[in-house]
Amino acid sequence: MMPNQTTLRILLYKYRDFLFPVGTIVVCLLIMVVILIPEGVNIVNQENNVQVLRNDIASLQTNLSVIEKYDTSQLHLNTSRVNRAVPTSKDFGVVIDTLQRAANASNVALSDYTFQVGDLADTRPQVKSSTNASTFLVSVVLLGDAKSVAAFLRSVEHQLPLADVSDVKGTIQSAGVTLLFYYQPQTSVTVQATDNFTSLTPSEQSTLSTLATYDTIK
Amino acid sequence: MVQRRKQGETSERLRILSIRLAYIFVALTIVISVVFFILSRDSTAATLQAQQNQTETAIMLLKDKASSIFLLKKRIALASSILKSRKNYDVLLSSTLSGLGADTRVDTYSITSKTISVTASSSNLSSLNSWLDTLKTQTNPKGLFSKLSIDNFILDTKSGLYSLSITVTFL
Repeated sequence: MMPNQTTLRILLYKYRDFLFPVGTIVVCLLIMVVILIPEGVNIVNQENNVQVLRNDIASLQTNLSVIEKYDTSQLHLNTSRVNRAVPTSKDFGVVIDTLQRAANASNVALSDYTFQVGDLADTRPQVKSSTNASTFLVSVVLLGDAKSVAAFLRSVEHQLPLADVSDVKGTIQSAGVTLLFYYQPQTSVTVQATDNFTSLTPSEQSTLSTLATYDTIK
Repeated sequence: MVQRRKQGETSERLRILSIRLAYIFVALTIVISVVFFILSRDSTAATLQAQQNQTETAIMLLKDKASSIFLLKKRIALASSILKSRKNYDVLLSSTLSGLGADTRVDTYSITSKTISVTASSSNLSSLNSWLDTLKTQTNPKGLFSKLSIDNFILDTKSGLYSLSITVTFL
């Protein structure tokens, strides 16, 4: 039942001294609920964003530092060395040169050689090895005894481009050797500032050092 | 009359309490508002955003160098996996032939991805035996070979040559 006007007046008169303080408290509570609490949430979110931004900037500055510190001439040298180790295409001239150098070093004569040619330029890798690199086979006939053939294999394995022995069949004075040469077409990359750039790890440095010992171009 | 006086005192206490509470609420609201106002005017986020943009721009100016580093690391990983996957066939072949005496001849040999097979002949049986002994010492869990098997042993009475065929399996 709704109180009538007279009752309201009586109540107002009775509690007139409480009207102002209670009204003030209600207004303050309203301000807190409607304005201050959402604003507080915003400030907390903003603080979180600031923390995220700080982390992002830290990683960006690490990236920038890594990129800036990498010596450009060393980068070119290393890039050309790894490209000689794993060429971007089937480079038969380099392969013939490698075979000839290995033959000279190991005292065997190169007789015949056969290349598995395939497509000379194709960005799609054709023969995939367990290492995920594309490969092509080169068969050579060597004139020399078993010890010279072992020396030839050693020489081939310690030169660039990287090659692996696939198959060897030898007799007293000659051997048929099939070698696996690796290549990997260059892929284009789109670098983002947010990508994770790191300096060369000790393992990567070690690989580069190994390749440097194989490289005839110092 | 005493009761009325007590009611009046209680009412007065409540009035004073409510006024104090109102002051506290007003003060609290003002303090929180001022603090939030100061915090919301904090320009750290904007400064950091500008710094982030600046750093990103600096990296993108070095885009070519960054791409080269990226590609270099990919190629190193590839070269590393090739180096790890290779077997030292020269060492394996040399080790297989290492125990051969001067009077022993290698007739045929073949290398596959897991084995080396050699056929050697000699007029001296002890030379072939000594070769086998050498291979046996290399066939153990810590050696080069996991298995040594004799495929064939022939004596050619016409030439007086002993011919021995063996296969070693790599570890």
